[in-house]
This record gives sequence, C-alpha cells and structure tokens, in this order.
Amino acid sequence: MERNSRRILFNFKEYLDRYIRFLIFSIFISSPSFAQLNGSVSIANDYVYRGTSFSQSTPVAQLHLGIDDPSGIFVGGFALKTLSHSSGNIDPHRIIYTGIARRISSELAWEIGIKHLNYANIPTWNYEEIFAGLSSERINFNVHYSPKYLGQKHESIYAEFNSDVALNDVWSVTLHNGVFYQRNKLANIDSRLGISGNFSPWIIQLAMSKVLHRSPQRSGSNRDRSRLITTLSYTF
Amino acid sequence: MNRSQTKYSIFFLVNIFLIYLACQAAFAQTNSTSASTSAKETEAQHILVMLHLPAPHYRPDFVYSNNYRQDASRSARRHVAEKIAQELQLKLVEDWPMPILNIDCFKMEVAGNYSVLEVIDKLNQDKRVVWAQSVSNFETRSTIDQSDPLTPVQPAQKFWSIQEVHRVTTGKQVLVAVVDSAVETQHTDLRGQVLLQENFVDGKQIVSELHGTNVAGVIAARSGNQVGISGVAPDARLMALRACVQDLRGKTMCNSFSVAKAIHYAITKGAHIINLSFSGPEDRLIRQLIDAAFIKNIKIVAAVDYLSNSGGFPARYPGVFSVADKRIKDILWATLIAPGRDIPTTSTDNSWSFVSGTSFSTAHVSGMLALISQLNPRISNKQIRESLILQPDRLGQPEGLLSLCETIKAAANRCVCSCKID
Repeated sequence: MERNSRRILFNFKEYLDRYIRFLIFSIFISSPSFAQLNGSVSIANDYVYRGTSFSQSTPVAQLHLGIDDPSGIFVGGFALKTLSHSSGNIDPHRIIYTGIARRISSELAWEIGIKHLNYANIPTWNYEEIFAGLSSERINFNVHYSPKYLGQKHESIYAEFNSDVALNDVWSVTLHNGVFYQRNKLANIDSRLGISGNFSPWIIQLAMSKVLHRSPQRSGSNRDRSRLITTLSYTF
Repeated sequence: MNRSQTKYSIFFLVNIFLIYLACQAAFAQTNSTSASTSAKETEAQHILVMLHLPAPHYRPDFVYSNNYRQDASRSARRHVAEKIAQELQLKLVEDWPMPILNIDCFKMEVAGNYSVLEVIDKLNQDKRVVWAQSVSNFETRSTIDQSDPLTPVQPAQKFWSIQEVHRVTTGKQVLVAVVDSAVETQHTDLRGQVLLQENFVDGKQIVSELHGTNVAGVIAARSGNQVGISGVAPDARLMALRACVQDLRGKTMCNSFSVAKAIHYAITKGAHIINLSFSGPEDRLIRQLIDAAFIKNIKIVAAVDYLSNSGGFPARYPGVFSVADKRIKDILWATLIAPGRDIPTTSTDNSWSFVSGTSFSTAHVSGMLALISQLNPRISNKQIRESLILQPDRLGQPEGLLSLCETIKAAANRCVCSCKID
C-alpha cells in the first residue's frame, strides 16, 4: 500500500514537472508575445517561511521568474541561495508553481493552483501543495493543502490571511497571519507585520515575523524568536 | 565573510539605499504625475495603449497585493510599454491600471516619424497590446449668462414641484459622480455635499472651475440653508472627479484618458450615478467602462450634442440616459428632456449664476435618478426607462419635458405630488 502511495506521488511529481514544462511551451507557442514575463531579484537578511527560518537566519539571494497569460494561467519558479557558507547550511527550497487566476469584479479575484517545493540537499523533504484563494483590493485569503508536507506521511493545511494597505503611492503596510494544521492538530500560528516601499522597479520591505503559537512537538529554543526581515528587490 | 558580517553588510546597504531613495522622493515627481495644462492642444499627439493586467495571484517573492498602483508585476508591464515605445519612437507619459477591464492603460506621445493613425494601426496588430486608440476630446454642453443676479425661481421648482417632491425624497444615501471640471467644494451651497474630490487631469492642487461647480449645484446644492438654491437631490452626496479643464476662454474640455480614469474610479468607489455633461467622438475605452458600469447597475447620464446628427457620444450609446433641454427633430428619439435654460446654480468665488445648456439638463436628470434611487435603491436602468412619464404640454414649458412627480410615482410606487386619496 505504502509502495503504491509512493509510486503515485512520484508519478504525480513527474506529471507536474512535465505539465508545467508543457504549459510554458504552449503559452509561448500560442501567444509568444502576449504572455507577460515578470520577475524579481532580491536579497534578504533571512528567509522565513511560515514562521520558520529556512536559511538558518543567514542572508539569502532570491530569484523569481513568472509568466502571466491573458487567459489567467500563470506559471513561475522561485529559487534561493544562502549567501553565507557556514558548515551545515541547507539551501532553502525552490518552488515551481502554476495555476489560474481570474477577476470576479474589480474588487475581487480568485485563484487556484499547485506548487512543488524542492529541497536540493534533502530530496526526501520535497512535496507538492494545492492552493486556492480569494483576493480583494486590500486583503487576501489562501488555503494550501499538502498530502505529504515536507515528505512526512501526514496531510497538512496552511491557511493564511494577508493584508496590504496603501498609505500613499509608494508606501504600504503589510500584514500576514498564517495557521498551520498538521495531523489534524494546530501546529503553529505565524504572523508578520511590515512596511513595503515601491520605488518601481525597486521594492523594499521591512517586516517583523513572529511565531505566536507552536505545538510542543515543534518547539525549539531558537525557532520562536521574533525576526526582523529586510528585503531589497529589483523587479522586471 | 562569515554569517554576521554578511547580515550586517546587507543591512547597511539596505539602509543606505533607503536614505538615497528618500532623498530622491523629496525632489522627484512620481511616474504617475502628468502635467497636462491644456486638455486639447497636447492630446492630438497622444495615444492610449492597453496592456493586459493579470489578476492577482500567488507569488512566492511578495506578499499578495491587489493594490494595482503598487503590484510587483507593474515593472514587467512598464518594461513592455517602454519596449513598444522605443520600437515606434513613442514617449511614455504615464500609466493607469484599470482592473475592471483587466488592462493597464499607458498614455504615450507620438513623437517620431509615424503618424498617430499609423502607430495605432501597428499597435493593434501587436500581440503584446490588447488594443490601442487615440485620445478623444470631449466638450461640455453649456453657455454661461452671468448678466442677471440669482433669483429664487428655479425651473426645477416651476416645472417639477421640487419642494413637494423633497417632502418624500431628497436623494439620501445616493452617491453621484460628477465627471467634470473642478468643483468649488467650499461654496456656501455645496459645503458638506462633496464626499470626495479627485484630480485626474494633473497632479496639482485643485482650483475650482466653473462648469463642474455649476453642474454640482444643480444636482445637490444644499437645501434649507436660507441661501442660494436647492439642488434637485440635496441629500445626495457627490464625488467631484476632475477630468476636464477650463481654458482661458472659459471653455471646458476633457479627454478620454482623464475621463476614463474618473469613470473607473467612480465605478470602483461605489457611485450609483455618473453624470457626464459633455460629448465628443465615440471612444472604445469609455464605451467599455460604461458597459462595466451597467453590469453594476450604475446609471450613466450624458448630455446631447445638437451639433452631432446622432446626438454625440456617450449620449447616443445604448443604455445611457441621453438628455437635452429641448426636442429637436431627428435627435435621438429616446432623449429625455429636462430643464436646461436659465438655470440658477452655484458658481465659482462663492457666487451663483444663470447657466443654460444640455449640461444642466443632464444634471437635472442625475438629480432625478438620485431621488428615485433613494426610494428604490435596486431599480434597474430598464425599469427606470419604463417608468419615464412626460408632463402634459403647457405654455412656457419645453416640449416633451419629463414629469418628475409621475416618473417617481411609476418608478418607486410612491405618490410625491398632490396625491389624491381614492
């Protein structure tokens, strides 16, 4: 049974990789100029993902590339590299994702998609997640489901709420709250409050990230402290 | 370099960058500022280029944002626009995202060897572009007569028994967007009536202008303040959206870019009625925004142009309430007739004046729709049209004049004037 499950999941991952490659190819063949290519290059003093530092509090460089098709289909990839070479460092994950997003009205949009997180140093951590969400002008709500989070044998659900309130044409206040369930139990709650300055094409973000709750199984002395995250990005 | 040194180096670099940007921001203008001082003279060389605006979606590099002025993919669209501008010898002026239409609208100046039509033709064949169009010019429909002092006689009182109507409805909780030149919001008869004011022409401080102030007064001048006039819907609230410019001769002109921005804003900010007291050539961008407004059950009211055989745009666009102040043969059989001659209304410098023109007939109908909307908030455009009733012909009254009392009675099932008990 377990061998079959592993086979199914492995095939699914392979299918996802092929599907994304096919999608990118299709978009370029069908509307080579219409699809918009976008991306960003960033440096940050830490990479915190759902309240946990995945770069062991070391600075990272990030690269993101995405394609937006007028049909609403989007595809993208995200990679990070730690900038410090202390021993035992693990490179954070790489993400490839795809989905579809559409506006319901000028104020509301929905999306659904799937992503694959890849850990080059620890392949057993690789996993897929399905996500779906709703966005309005200032807030966004998303749910992410994985049948095998970080390679573990249990399902996980991560629900997040994000808010972006523009103070003026340049500055905005950003808020993120996430609730993570694993094995049908509350695993942790993370929160992030920050400000973002858009000096297009440069974007700067300063945020304080904190884990508000962590289940006893996941607690660690270094994991729950507040973190100041500074990110400088160049968008193109 | 060890971990701490790397972290502090990055922190130091980011702070230096922040200080640099702060200094730049203190002296620079934003990309979205445009300094068009004359609406008509520069617009002949401008075009509008629409690029696709993706819906917001998952991005692992940034927190989600539906804030279109700041979204992270804006750089990508700008890059495409700059490339297009370079290829066709255009100059990028500004852009304005319009999520209602899923487009980012770029205004560009035609500066090279191609003509405007050639550029538009090339762009409409470019797969990167959703569509391209010229910038249309619109003109308000009014004449100004300031030779006589204001009198307490308003045609709305004379023909529409407005005081009687106000016992039942005054336009409460109805938001009317006045897309026009700047409104004098601190006028004695308008203070407190303007909920918000925006400038879509340039980034300068708003200085009150005639036409917008005149139109605003007809719609929603304060009532019962012992001063001046009473608007048709004195408890309605206005969005004063400056999309038109008054030139040195007193003429008021608008262009399709500023008008489109204003209409888009009105739709997203919840306007129930949009007053367009101007006319001009057919414009695709404005047409699509009007269609988007209809989907949200927003009423669009526009002034007829007598100089145009079809009545002018947007008045002739199906679904728009086209308004004139007199019946002219062959002009739009569906045109509504409302008071538009010798209308006392608010004017600049805290004064009042007499005005005439279909601009003010339009304002009367916008006020009328506000009165109906208070009593029947969900009434559709179609239902309103089915409820329109004309006044019996009387001497001294425009032929085919709308009857406010009977129309409200039919639309909202409320008797408002001289009701008989059967």
